Amino acid sequence: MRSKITTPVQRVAAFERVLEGLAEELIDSTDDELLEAARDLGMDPGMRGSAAFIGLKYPAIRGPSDFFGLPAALPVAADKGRQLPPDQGSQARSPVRKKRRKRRGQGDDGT
Amino acid sequence: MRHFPPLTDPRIVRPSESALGLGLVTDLELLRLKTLARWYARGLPPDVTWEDLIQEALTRIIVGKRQVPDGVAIVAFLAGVMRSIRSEHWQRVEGTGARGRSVRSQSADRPVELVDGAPGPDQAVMAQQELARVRELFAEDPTATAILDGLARGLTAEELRVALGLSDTDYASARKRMRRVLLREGLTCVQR
Repeated sequence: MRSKITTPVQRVAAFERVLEGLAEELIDSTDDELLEAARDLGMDPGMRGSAAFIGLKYPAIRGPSDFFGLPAALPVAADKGRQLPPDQGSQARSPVRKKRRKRRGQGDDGT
Repeated sequence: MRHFPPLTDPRIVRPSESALGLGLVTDLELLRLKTLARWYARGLPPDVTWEDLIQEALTRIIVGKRQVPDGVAIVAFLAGVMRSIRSEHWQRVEGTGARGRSVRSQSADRPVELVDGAPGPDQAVMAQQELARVRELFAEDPTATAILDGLARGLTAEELRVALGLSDTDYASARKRMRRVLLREGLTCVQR
């Protein structure tokens, strides 16, 4: 039954049709079905501070990628980083220096 | 699209909280809208989140930019608003791209207008990837997968049922299973 979808227009149109068709299912779902799905996830929407309302009544849970430029958040930047020429990449890497440990009782001058 | 700040500060009142306070929506309607917002955020760039969609849609109603017609359910109406926000986003992206192309291709005396409304490569790639992700949601249910394929081809519910050789009851239970998966996916706290 699965037909081959090739052109960009066809791909987008197919996706939009699926999106619309299944959005109708969400609109038509009953309150019982909604609560049942919440229970499946261990959520109780009737409870004060329920996780079901995160992003609605309470701020969304932020991941590390929201604060730091991790590759997961910036796939394009990550790809660009990978495209560095090999010599440039090796130059960009700073040499790792070992930190000398101070012995107990030693001053800054090593005495 | 208006980008809301991260709102990690709980003192900031969000449009969803205002909508609840004004009695525009109930808790359950808000949850159903969350599932719809997460659904409509599929295939959009990562910087446009489901929260942007729902908060923008609610803002448009609260400030009076959009008015809910009499007799129309608020969830269905807001779903339509979110859908239009979604298409506005792509129109804006495609419009910007097309303007860039037309600047490069226009001659001095006759500018060439390249805006044709066709989806750009970004949208096509995202659509393809997202369709694959949606199929993964129903990977364990062959009937649901077949329904998805039928929807992608533009079949109506009755055409789908007949094409799959399902009885009314079997088709209804397949849709119920799909709704459960969709609702679970829509209520989860996992950021996509």
